Amino acid sequence: MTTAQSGPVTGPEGTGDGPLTPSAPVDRHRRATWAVWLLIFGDAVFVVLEVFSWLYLRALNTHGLWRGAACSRTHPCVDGQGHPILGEVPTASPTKTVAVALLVVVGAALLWAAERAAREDRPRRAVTLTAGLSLGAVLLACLVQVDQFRGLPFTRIQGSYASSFFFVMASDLFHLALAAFVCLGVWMGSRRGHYADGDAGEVRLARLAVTWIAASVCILAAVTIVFT
Amino acid sequence: MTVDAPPRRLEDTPLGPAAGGLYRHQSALTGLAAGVVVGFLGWAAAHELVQAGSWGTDRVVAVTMVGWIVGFTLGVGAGNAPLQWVVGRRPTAEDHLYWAGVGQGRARYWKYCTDHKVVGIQYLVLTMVLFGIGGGLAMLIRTQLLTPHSTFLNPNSYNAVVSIHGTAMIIATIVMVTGPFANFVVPLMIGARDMAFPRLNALSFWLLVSAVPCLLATFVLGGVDAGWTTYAPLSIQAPVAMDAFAVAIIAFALSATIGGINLIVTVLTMRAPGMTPGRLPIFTWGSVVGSALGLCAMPAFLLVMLMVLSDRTMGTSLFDAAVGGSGWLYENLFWIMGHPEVYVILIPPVAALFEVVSTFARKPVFGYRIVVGAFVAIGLLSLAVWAHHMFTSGWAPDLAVPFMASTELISLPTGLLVLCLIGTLWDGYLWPRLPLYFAYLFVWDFVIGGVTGIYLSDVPADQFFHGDMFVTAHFHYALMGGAMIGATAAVCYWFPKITGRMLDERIGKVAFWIIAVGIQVTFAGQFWAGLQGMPRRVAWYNPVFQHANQTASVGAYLLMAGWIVFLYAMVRSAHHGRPAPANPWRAKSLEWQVPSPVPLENFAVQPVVTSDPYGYGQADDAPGGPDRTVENSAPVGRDGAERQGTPP
Amino acid sequence: MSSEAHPPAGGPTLRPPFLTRPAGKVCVVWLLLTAIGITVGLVAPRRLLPGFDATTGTDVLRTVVFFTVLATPVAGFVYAVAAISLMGRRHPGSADEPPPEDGAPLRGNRSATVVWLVVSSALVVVMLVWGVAVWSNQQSSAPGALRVRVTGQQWLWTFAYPGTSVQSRTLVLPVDRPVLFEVTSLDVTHGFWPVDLGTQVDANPNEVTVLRTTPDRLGRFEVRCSQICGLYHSLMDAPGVVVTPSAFSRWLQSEGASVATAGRVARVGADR
Repeated sequence: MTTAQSGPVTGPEGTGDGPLTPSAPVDRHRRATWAVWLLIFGDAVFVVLEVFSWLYLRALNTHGLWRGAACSRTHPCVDGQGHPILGEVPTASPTKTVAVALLVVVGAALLWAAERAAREDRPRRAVTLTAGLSLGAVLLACLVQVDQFRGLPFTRIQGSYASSFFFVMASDLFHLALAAFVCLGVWMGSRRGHYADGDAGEVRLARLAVTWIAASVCILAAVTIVFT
Repeated sequence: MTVDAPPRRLEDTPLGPAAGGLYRHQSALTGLAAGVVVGFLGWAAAHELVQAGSWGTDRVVAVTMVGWIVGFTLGVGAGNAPLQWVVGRRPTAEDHLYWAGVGQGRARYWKYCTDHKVVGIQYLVLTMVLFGIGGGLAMLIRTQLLTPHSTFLNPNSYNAVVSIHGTAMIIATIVMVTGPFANFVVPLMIGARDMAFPRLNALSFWLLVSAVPCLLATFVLGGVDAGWTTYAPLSIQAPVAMDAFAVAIIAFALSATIGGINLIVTVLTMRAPGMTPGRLPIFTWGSVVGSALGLCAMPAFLLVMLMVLSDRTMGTSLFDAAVGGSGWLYENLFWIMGHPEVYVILIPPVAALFEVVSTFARKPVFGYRIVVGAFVAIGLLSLAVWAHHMFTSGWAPDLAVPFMASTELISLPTGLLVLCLIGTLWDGYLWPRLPLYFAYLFVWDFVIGGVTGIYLSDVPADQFFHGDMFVTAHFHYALMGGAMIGATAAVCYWFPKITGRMLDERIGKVAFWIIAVGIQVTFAGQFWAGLQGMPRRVAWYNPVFQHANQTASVGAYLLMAGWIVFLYAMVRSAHHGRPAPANPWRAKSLEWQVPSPVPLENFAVQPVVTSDPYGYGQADDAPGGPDRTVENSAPVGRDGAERQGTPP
Repeated sequence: MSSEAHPPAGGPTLRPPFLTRPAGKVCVVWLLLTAIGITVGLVAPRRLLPGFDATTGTDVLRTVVFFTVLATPVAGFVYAVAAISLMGRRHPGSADEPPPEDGAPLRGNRSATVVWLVVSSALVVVMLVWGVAVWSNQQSSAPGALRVRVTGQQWLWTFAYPGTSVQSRTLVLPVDRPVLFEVTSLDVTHGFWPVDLGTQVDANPNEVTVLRTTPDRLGRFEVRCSQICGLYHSLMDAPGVVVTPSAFSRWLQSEGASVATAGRVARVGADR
């Protein structure tokens, strides 16, 4: 027996993401989690290759110009624009590198707190506050990173250490901007009440992403500080 | 309540005037306009701020290209959903319907449509455009090489043509099966209504579209003179076209990554009940392995092009050996991408071929588990062979033997694939339709491509062959004669499902024979030139190579004619072909159990899978009888109660 | 891997002769293709490859011939099976309906797979052993090797002979003496490819890569560039010649003398 229906035609629940038969939230969340993990995997490949490049250039020390250990006033080396390098290129101060890493770790930790608050169905304010603080921490990390660029004791054309440092920090800055975007979304979403009723799925995904970004920043910070 | 009114299709659901929001006014045209505007703004800003200085022009070009891509993708509607999300708004059900193309007719093909079937067709057209570009450039190359010292192209143009020919073909072959068919067919094959992330699906398509003008722009920006492999330091010194090239590749890598993630998650999480991994069609396995491999390779591509941009626009010396960098770093990073990438190209078409061969020999896949295992083994091994492209680079001679070993090892799972393919053909009841023709051509071509590869895998022999036309002929046999022919078989196979019409067999077979002969003549000519010692990527050559080159050029013209005839067959049949039944091949996989053309949400009733789609020759199967793969059960609600569904 | 027609029921019957069965036909075609392939493998490379003038070149020729002979049976088997598969039951291609029956429900054949895997693995091992043997033989440094410094630049090759002041655009080598090329570039990556010596190595800026071979035949050859290096990559050819040792020393002396009388050695490219 066929029946005509007056509203939109619907199908059974939980049968996959059609435009009219959206999946149950638990299914959608499972897929989104997979996607975030796969993105993290891709980014991990990226970070591993960055580390590989750093260590490789350091080991090769082509022409002695990783940091120009053999350069001196009497035997100057030449930088990328033909200017002389009169001594070993100084390393960047670890302070700002560590500060950036700490700040993004704090940001990730605050998202953990936000997720817990959402999951335990705390008042909306709790989630909004922790998410907002997380956003603040990540933005601060961005600022410190930019500041580090401006205060480097070398220019990026002075050998492969300088070049690699610049590249890695630029890549960090991009990831931090992504993290800020994610934190911003969680904060705004919380202000609109999307995470009420214990619906912490999105916050969990955000926490996952920002935790990875924090981890990658820490890994790269460690490599750039230890392997100078 | 009326009883006998026909059931309304989902596609005909009337939508309110606000459904879709900003999307209502966006299309490829607004994308184009926004891309030009933002690109121009980027150019103006960059010109003002950063033109001066050593890297000024590179920065201007890079910023302009990035501006174009950002503008285009935002203009076509890619940013709507993320921007909505970040300010905390959520789309409505009507928005979802609009995005899926409801109420837009043909116009939805020009818009940011989330329906996987639309995206599949968009990818098919884009792939053909890319092949057209690459093929046209190939014609220029072969015309230049008709005579030893031709003045047809000047050397700069020739180098630019060679570079973009390679790049366009690489991009085209990467997406040629995954784009159209993994998108269109895989959700149907696994009993899903769409991909896991329909909006990301559209994003990966339009992002790729935005990369194409950047690639073409290289011709007017001085030309890329470093091949598609763009080794540093040559690429660091190349004209500003290289900045556009790098931006295009970055967009492409992002597109491929997103598309790959989408496919993997779809297959992992959206299979119909009863579709265990052992019942997945081979094509689904191949698409997943190819995408997973792409996920390993694309980040490397992204990284190396970002580094190239960094060296070119910021003056870093990552690849400049005079200032501490290394060209070998570039080569390693590039080939860490480059070798898995050829298996990203190869595995999906081979997987599609198993569907074709199984259907047209009326047999189950020979060695199903071996095929899947071989795909996985190839994928894993391909991550460990990259330096066979660097045997003559002078880098790490001590590593030559380990890489020779891993490269020769990869012939084992690849050989198993060929064994299983011919095993599937063996003792079948053959139905020699066009897809089967291409399957046999694949076997012929791919064996040649594979066998000629073993010479190159041997380090001492590669000392002669590296950088020689023999290499070119080898990979063309494998990628064109192999992968592309597999993709063509896929086109012929799924044509009725996608277009609802039958592909004209007569014209198709004419095209087939021209292409088949063209491949042999073209690349035999190149093997000949290579054996004689002709280097690749040269505009002028020693007259001793002339006969070989003329052979190759004649073959290439023949090939081009064949592809044009095939294109004609496709276009003509899409409009005037005989209407196709839902399952013209009487195949057993799920995509053939839905009508052609396919309804918006694919399945009105959730299929429940009870066996794999290779149940040919079963004793209790009546000849041509009902398909046993699917139980067309009534839809079952989550509480187990039966509910009335609607027929398609 | 057999699924022949079932013999009629009732009483013992003779099986059809092996050669008329599909498996038999495969064997025939296989033997034929293998014979053709081996013949081609023994004849074609020798005729098509350049006449090599060095030990490394001979290695290439031998490898190509040997690998062709190894691979031909495998390729022949695949082609034979594919070809004979076409000769089984066939439905008209023009038919719009699928065949009335299915093919054999053959989901695999363990012995076929195992044999294939074992044979192909054995072949891989053989190829590997061969390659390692040839490669390590090439890598062993010979004492008293002639050192030649090769410098590539956009778009020409320069050859210098350490110990002399000779700088030449022609690569002159004495026969039967091991040579050690030390290769570098002044700008971008080039490919130093003395074609008839059957070997090559890239020329990288600010690096020195080495290449070892021993010319063993007199004659002329060409050096080509095998790595795209910009505008005139196609024109980056240099002539080469293998001469007798006495002719070589005479050439060195006369070149050195002319270089000395010409005054300052012209150095091309920046001093980095």
